[in-house]
Amino acid sequence: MDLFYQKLLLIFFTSLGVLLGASLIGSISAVLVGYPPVEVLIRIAREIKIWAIVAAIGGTFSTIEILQLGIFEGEFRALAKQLFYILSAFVGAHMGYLIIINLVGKNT
Amino acid sequence: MMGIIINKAACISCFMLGLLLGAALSVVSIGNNVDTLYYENQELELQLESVSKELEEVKSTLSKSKDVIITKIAPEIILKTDNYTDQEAERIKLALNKEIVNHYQNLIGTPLKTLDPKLLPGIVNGRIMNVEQKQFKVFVKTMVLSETMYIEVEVKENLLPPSL
Repeated sequence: MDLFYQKLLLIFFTSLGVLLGASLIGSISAVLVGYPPVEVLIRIAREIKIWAIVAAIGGTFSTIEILQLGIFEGEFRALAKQLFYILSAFVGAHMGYLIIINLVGKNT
Repeated sequence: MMGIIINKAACISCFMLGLLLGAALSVVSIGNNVDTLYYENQELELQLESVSKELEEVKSTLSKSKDVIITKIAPEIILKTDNYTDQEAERIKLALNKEIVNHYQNLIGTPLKTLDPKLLPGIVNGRIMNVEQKQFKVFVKTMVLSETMYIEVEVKENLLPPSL
């Protein structure tokens, strides 16, 4: 999966999966310890969003390094790619968040 | 042999996955109800706490005053009929119990010496009460006045309309 669009999709679905998995499986713990599961589900979904993006683009350092190369050494193509990867991860994570919110039927 | 081990591992993995998916789906499907019940429970706990405090205060105030005060109404219903099943009879007794307690509700907190024992049975004696879409006539048999007001009543079903 080396092509640009392939990597874009990989990042999108990874961030979506991280968010859905973390919140859905994580909320089971709330049931076990007697807390309101939906509240915990939504809180995890909200808090894990940024980590889902980071996990999907594969760690922050390489991305920041490429951003630096793009800005200071004129590698605009790489810079644009990285921005699209971040955007894709963000869209995936946000879509996961929206799925969770609509699944439990709460407007928050 | 290797194949059996792999199958076993795959079975366990499938089972675990199913367990997690099932749990996650249950959280999504009944989570809202659980949340509502949790908050209701919290609210009731809070109410219980405040009511318990209030009760303790009332008890301490009552123990300080030397007068005997009516604190509870305890009716005893005797239903003179075989037309009902045990469950129906219990339901009717419970409803009549509630009605009688309602009639004497205002006496709670009243000092015993201020009450006229001749008048008290008359509040419900001979009264017709509507319960479970039926009419019952109430006759007071025994009444004991103390902190707990005990009333024994006999109840007969009124088959005729009240005007006759």
